[in-house]
Amino acid sequence: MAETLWDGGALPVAARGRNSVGWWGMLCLIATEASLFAYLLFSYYFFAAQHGKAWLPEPHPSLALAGPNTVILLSSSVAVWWGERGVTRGRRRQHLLGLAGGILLGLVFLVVQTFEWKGKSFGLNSGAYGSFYLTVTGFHMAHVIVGVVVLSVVFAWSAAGFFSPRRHDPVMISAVYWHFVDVVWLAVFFTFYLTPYLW
Amino acid sequence: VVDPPPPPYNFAVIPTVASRHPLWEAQLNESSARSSLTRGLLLDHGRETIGTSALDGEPNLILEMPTDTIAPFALAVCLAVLFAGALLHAWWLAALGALGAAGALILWFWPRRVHADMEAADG
Repeated sequence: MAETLWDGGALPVAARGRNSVGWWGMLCLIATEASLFAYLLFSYYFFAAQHGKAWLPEPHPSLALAGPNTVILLSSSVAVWWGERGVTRGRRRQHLLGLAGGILLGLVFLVVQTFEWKGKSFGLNSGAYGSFYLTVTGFHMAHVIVGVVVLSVVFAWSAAGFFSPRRHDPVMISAVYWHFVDVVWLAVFFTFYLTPYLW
Repeated sequence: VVDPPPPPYNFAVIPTVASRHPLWEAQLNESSARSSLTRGLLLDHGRETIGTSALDGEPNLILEMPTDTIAPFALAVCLAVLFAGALLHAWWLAALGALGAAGALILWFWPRRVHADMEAADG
C-alpha cells in the first residue's frame, strides 16, 4: 500500500509559469484571434484575386506613416520583452521601464494610426477595399487598445510589488499577448501596404 | 467502495489509483500495487487539488481552486449592460458596460501576495 502513496516531499503550491491555466488560456485566445485575422486577410486576398489590380486604390497605400509605425510597434515588443527579462532576474527598474516603454510606444502607435485613418480618401461604406482596410486595421487597433490597457494594469501591479522573479504570471501572459498583436500587425502591414507594390 | 449516496464531499482523501483496472486488481493480479479510496493525499488547506504530469500521472503541483468571488457575476451583469446598450444604440450605456466589464476582469485577475510566502516550498 505504502508504495502507492506520494512520498516525493513538499509540492509547490499554486501553478505558475507554463503550468498555469492563464498561460494556456492566453495561448487558446491567441489561436482564436489568429484565426479571426487569418479569415479577414483571406477575404482580402480573395477579393484581390477576383478583381485584379484595378480594385486597389490609386495611389497605393503610402508607407510614410505606416513604415515608421511598424518600427514603433516592433520596438514596443522589444521593450516588453526586456521588461519581462527584468522581472525574471529581479531587476525592478528594468521591469518597470520595459513595461512603461511598451505602453508608451503602443500609445504612439495608436495616435499615428489615427492620423493614418484620417488621411484616407475612402470610408467604411465606400466600397469593398475601404471596408476591408478599416475592418482589419480597426480590429487590430482594438487589440492594441486592449493590450495597452492590460499592460497598464500589469504595470500598476508591478509598481505595487505584486510580482517576484518566481511569480509573475500576469507579466508573462500579457507579454505573449502583446507579441501576438505585433505579429498580427506584421501580417496586416504586409497585406495592405506591401503586396500592392509586389503585384 | 463508497456506499450510495456518496457523502457531500465525495472522498475524504484523493483516491490512489494504482493500475488501469482498479476494480479488477485482485482478479488480474498484474502487480502487487492496489488502489485505495481511503488512503491518499489529504489536502485540507482550503480548496485544493493536485496537478499531475501528463503521461505518468505523478503529482507535481498543488492547485488552488477558485474561492468565493463576486467578480464573474459582476462581469456577467456588465456584459449584459454592454450588449443591451449596443442593441439600443445607447452608446453611453454600452461604454458604461465596457468599463464595468474591464473593472470586473481586473478584480477577477487581481494577483494575491499570499503565494510570495510559499516560495520556499517551491523547490
